[in-house]
Amino acid sequence: MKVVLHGEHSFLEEVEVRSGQKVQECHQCSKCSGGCPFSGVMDYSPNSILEMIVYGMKDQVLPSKSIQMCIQCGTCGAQCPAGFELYEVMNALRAMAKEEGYTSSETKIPKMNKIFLGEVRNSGRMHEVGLIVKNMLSQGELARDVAALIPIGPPMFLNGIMGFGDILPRKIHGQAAVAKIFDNVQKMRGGQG
Amino acid sequence: MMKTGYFPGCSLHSTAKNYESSTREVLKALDVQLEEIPDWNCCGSTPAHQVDHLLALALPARNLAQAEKAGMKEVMAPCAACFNHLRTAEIECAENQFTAKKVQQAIEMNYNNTVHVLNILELLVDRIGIDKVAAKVKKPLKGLKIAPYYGCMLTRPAKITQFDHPTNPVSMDKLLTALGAEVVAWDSKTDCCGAAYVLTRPEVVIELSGRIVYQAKEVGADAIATACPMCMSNLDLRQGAMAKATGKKTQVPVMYITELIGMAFGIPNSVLGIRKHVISTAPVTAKIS
Repeated sequence: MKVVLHGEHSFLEEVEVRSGQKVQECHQCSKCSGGCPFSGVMDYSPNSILEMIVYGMKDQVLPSKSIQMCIQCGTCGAQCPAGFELYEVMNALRAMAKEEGYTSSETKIPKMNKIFLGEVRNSGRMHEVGLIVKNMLSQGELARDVAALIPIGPPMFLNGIMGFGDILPRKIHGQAAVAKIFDNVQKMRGGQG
Repeated sequence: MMKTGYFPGCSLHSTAKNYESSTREVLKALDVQLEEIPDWNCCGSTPAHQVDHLLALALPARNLAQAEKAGMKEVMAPCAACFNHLRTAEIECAENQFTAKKVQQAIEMNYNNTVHVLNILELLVDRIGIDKVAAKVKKPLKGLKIAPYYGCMLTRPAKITQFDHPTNPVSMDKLLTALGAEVVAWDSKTDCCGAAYVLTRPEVVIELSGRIVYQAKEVGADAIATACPMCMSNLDLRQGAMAKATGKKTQVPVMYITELIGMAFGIPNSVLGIRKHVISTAPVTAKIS
């Protein structure tokens, strides 16, 4: 079924242009949702997101958990009979949600992303110990996360997976150049963080 | 002597030191010289692409520009995620001049798209060749049943990776066969382990990674082979949590493909770093003499 939407610039049109994917050609076979490792914890399954775009349900799609949860594993795209890459749609939706100031009901993943990128900005590389500790303190599940570390922390040290040298971050020489990339991208986005 | 650019990535310098040491040792044995990208930075990984597409291209592009400056034509990234993100920058800048211009503006460096990004399997199978790998085998992995695990990032999205088959890849299978191992057929080859969501949605990752580990056990694998530090960490470190969640005890060793190749080449376990796992690899090493 082809839906004709009125208005100068429909949500559907914008998603199609930004993602390069013909969302309207989705057959609604749901293979994407069957394959998606995270559809079980999304608020709308991937095929539903596509249908909602066609119906112009912008205010439901852009704040959804689903668009924040896509990890770009590409499982959906590899199975799609219409041959499109759903992750491109999810990337476009995430960017639109950010530009238009929608807040997501998914908060854990964006928090972790912020900490991860903060580590990269501050030292030029990702510091695993710093990421794990800061993330643990921010997620609000400290007891659970510490309990999960208790059985794996000691063997990681004993078996040499981690050593004392991994505790502190090390800056690369070009750290300032990497921090500048973050600033430049922000400026090019018109000041949006 | 073959020379190639090298991008270790953050994990290979911390929790995946054995992936780095085994990669270096195996390539040295194959007469390949690795030249590390000067002062490389983090590829941005999943967080960068989830937060900002331009940032997700610019962070890896700085590395490619650094490689270009050092005169490299090819760069090999053993980490599947680093490979995927570096390759995304390469392909998207090559396909779209406007993107390439914005990326250069963001990194404030010249980047002319002259560096090609490879993953470790590609280097071993397509550049060096299975025959040359097979010729170096001194201790065949006879009697070892290995489940080759590719995960997501080596083969998908296909338009980016342009490597092997998106859901039924065979490069690692071929390598393992050349080493004398028995490759087990299984369904979890390219399933997602849940990756970095282990830090935000551990219960989901325990379930996804658990399915992979339990299936390997079911098909009788002695070990799972991987080429990704994130997959390694989820599959190796979380088996205790999987057992707690399901009530089924599990002890399936997970090894980097380069550790298995190194073993078959007769490189000492201590040099390869084979003890650096939570699930003991002793049952695997005991079978090889």
